[in-house]
Amino acid sequence: DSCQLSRLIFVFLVEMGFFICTMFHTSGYDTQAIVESNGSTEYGLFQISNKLWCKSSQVPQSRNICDISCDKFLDDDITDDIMCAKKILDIKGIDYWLAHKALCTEKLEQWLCEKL
Amino acid sequence: PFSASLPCPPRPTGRNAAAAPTTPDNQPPACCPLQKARLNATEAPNLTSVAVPQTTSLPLPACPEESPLLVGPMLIEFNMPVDLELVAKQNPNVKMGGRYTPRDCVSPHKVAIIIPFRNRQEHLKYWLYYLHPILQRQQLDYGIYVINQAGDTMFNRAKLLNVGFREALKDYDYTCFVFSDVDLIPMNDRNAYRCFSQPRHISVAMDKFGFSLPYVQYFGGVSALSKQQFLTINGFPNNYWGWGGEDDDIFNRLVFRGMSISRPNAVVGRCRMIRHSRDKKNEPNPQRFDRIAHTKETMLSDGLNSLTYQVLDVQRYPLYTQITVDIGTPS
Repeated sequence: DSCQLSRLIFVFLVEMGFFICTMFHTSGYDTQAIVESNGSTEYGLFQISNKLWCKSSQVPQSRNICDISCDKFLDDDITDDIMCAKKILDIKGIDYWLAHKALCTEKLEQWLCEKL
Repeated sequence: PFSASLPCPPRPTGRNAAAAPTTPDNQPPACCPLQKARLNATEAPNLTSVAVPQTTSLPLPACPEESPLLVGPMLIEFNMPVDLELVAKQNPNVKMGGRYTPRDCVSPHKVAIIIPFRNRQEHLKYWLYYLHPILQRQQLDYGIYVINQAGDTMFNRAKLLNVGFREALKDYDYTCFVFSDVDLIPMNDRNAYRCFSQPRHISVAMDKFGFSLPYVQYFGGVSALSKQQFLTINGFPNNYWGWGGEDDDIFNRLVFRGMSISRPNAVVGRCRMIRHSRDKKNEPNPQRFDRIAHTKETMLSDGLNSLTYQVLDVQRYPLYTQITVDIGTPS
């Protein structure tokens, strides 16, 4: 019924707010963000790490779970970023993104567009 | 028979004024009683041409709640060169070290403006060029402190701000502290660079964020805390090395001590940021999220009560005081 549907959509919107918040604090929405620390590097909107998830010359032994070259996460096409982020979510969970616990646990409505 | 132009011996002005003799309705006298008595005698010099030195004979009134000098929106650009010697000439009432006190009224706002700094001289020139006229129009009793991090280890903004707080208080009894990044310029002088009853966020609508607040908990850029508000949160954290997180930690501190953020509206709060690339030695701090998640515990032992540093140099320039400090390295 419509109440169930609207509850589902509400949960979906809250999750969306949560992801947008996490993306802002992780990369500032910068599709070209690239941050190196402690011998590994994180790429793009979702700051995907070359330690495990993508292939780069810096970490040749990476398991490359997303089966993709890391610098593909630095262009404006974010389809591949989103697909790999979904895999990370399934396998590792939301804790991959440290920003969420620090900054994205409350006031999530602010991340949704009013135009929705 | 005694005209209003009768000169009185100079009396100390402003805060240091001793209890001045006043008439029943609390107006300052036009002339001192002693002088009046003496002139009752035979000698009566020609006094009509002598002017009363206004600034030294009457106590100053309090400055109005809102300054009548404000102009509102201003044009801010960064495409012209700035010559600080010229800026000093354009602001003749700013005293050595970047100090200014309104001449015609007593300001309740004794504000130290603290700027964390390293290798941003070009930005500082724009900051001084734009802000000194604004701060004077706001009728603040202010001083400018540039806290320069010595050495080339990771930049630590919040620790530099702590140092600024401590060092500024050695100069004067400031009761309010504005903490400003060197590359942020307000576009409207109604955006008050002083303290309020709650901690104040000043840079609420930056051009970098589309002239809106990037998120409601954002407290970075330019903010103002009274001395009491600052002490209540044990000052700022000392352990955020590199970019990011320290402003979120400060926000958490305020919330945990029962305070809330006060802000101007998004029109008055518009600010421009001087565009620049990421500084070397200020890369994103990978520990920032973990630290932010633990503010509640860490604020008890990380802050003013654990602040250690060494001042290497203090320079008094016409438009600002620069304090070069060794703040150590990540422990």
